[in-house]
Amino acid sequence: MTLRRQYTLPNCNLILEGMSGEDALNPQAPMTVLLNLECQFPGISDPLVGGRDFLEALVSTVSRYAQYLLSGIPTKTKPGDGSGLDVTLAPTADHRHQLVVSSPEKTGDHTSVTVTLTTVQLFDLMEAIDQLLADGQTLPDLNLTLVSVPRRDTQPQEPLVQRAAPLAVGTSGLVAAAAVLFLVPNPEVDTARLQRSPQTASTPTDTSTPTDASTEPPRADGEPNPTPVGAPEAAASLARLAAAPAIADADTLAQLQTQLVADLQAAVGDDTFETDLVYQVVVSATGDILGYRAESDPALLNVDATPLPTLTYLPVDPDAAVEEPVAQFRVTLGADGTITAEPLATPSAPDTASAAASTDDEAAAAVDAPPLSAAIADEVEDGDRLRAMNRDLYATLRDSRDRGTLEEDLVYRVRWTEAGELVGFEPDSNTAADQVGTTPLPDLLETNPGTADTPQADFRVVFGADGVLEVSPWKGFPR
Amino acid sequence: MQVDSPPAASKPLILDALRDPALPKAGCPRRTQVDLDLLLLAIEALDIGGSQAILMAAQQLELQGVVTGRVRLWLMRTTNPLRRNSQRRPLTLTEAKALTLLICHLAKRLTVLIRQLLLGYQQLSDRQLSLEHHFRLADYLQRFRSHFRSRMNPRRAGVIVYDTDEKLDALAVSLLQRLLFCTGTEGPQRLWASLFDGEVV
Repeated sequence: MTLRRQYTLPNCNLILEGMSGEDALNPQAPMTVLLNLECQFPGISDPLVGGRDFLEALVSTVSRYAQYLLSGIPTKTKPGDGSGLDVTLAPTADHRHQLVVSSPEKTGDHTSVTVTLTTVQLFDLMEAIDQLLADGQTLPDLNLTLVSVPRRDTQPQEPLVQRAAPLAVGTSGLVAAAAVLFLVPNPEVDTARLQRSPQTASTPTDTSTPTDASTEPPRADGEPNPTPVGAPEAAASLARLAAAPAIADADTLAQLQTQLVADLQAAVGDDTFETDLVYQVVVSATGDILGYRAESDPALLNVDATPLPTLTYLPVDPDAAVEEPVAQFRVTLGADGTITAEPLATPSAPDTASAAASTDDEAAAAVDAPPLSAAIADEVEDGDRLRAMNRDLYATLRDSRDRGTLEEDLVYRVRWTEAGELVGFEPDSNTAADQVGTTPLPDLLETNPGTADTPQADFRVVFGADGVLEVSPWKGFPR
Repeated sequence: MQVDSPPAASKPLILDALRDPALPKAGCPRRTQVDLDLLLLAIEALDIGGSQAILMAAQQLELQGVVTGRVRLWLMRTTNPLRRNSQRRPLTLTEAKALTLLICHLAKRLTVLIRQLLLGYQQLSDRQLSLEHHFRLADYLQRFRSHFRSRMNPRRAGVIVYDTDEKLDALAVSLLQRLLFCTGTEGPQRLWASLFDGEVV
């Protein structure tokens, strides 16, 4: 007996014809064998007709498509095997849904039936299928599990080209930036400038030292410094030894010489040098090395290989001048491992030496504190003359200063004569005192100032951090 | 035996119809929270007493244990990150199930209206007429737009996308279409499965 089930909805009729496999005579028996399926849409003349495989394809396709409509997440379409029945659903431009049923013919061709459904028709089709699935009396073996689409089965919403675009733009941007920056030269390090500040910090002392050939050999102030790199502290330590008195006693000198050679020998050990390295070394009365200076280029280059930097006594205050008596030696570190030292300064009469030392001390102390405390005997107060002097000083400083960048403004009080001589100056701050070497003031200072009664005035000089030089009268321009 | 505390409220049995998805982390994904809130918004735009109807439906479905009241419902809906007063906490699966059942229940009651509006929309777009020609549809769209604009944070990128009336109308129609698919026999299961499309592992 043929069973007939019909699921009727306003826009879709699903008619199944089949029979019960168990008990053909029992009308209550469920329909287990499907013979024919007919799917009618009112308004569409041709019904969709098929068998069990058509029904199964229809159920899975409609279910998957309905889920896509609900979630908006497209799934990857599984390619059909080409032989079997293929049912596809796709949205059209005018808010409809195109149902295509392509079935294989015996000749090998595919005949496809296309039905365009509205959303409501599609829903009725889905609802008819749902009712069929829920009906226990019809095809109880047909069921459908509704599961969410796993992430890996979803179709990317953006095409691959669009997704790769940000990566491509970023990479090409990096490459372009690298190419451009490759053309930019490396910044040069101004090593000379880096070394100058500690060295010139004590220049006022140097300039003020009267040359005394009997006690002191020519010092760094006159010579071009051969140690731009590598031993700045050594140069500085020699500069600060400029005012130290020399040891004159021959016995002490011989003793110091022996001790120095022994110290160096112990520190060098078995090391050898490629060439003879010659240094000028200053030693205190107790035998400590207070400073050294390379006499030749190889000596300068290899200074770090010698024990001198480690043996040198590092002063607590590098700016303070050494006042204890010192001895000078020329030390030769021979390529064959021998170390020799010979005294440099010829010992002079102790009286003269000490006398010279004392005058040195006085002179150094005098210039360390420029005599600005003294009142000016003939102070220029006339506005025109003051302006002329101001202009004069400004022009002098502007021409002689070197344009470097400073960390902060340096302010000095400068005493300037009407004749155009720098009589004295004093820094206005600790920084200004430290950085005095970067200014032209020490060079311009008149070592032998004329009489104090020449017309003079005090000026305020500011070396601006931004490179701007400012000069103005200390007491301000007269009204 | 004397107990000091009331027995723990058992979960409503109706929620067992929906199976837990295999999510990589606890709590609902962002899209689930947005979709549920937008569907409820569409129901409110369809039905003037929508917000009251949601609470009534919760009582009919015996979901008072989950949707305890108006404030609780509001807290659940503000897990939608597009909201102006968005909550940081994620929606729990139980809450999401309750909302799903509520949406399907209400959509089923509005089936006739939803079908009318969709048929009208189809006819208007076939004739290329503007949507104002269908009075009921225009009413729905206008209400949806005002609901959306008053409740969503206009600075969120997800909201900026809908900056014109046309885009909001398209969103409203697509929500209507989704509500229609919720009305079916298997509506809750279909909606529930679709909420986690592309999120399960």
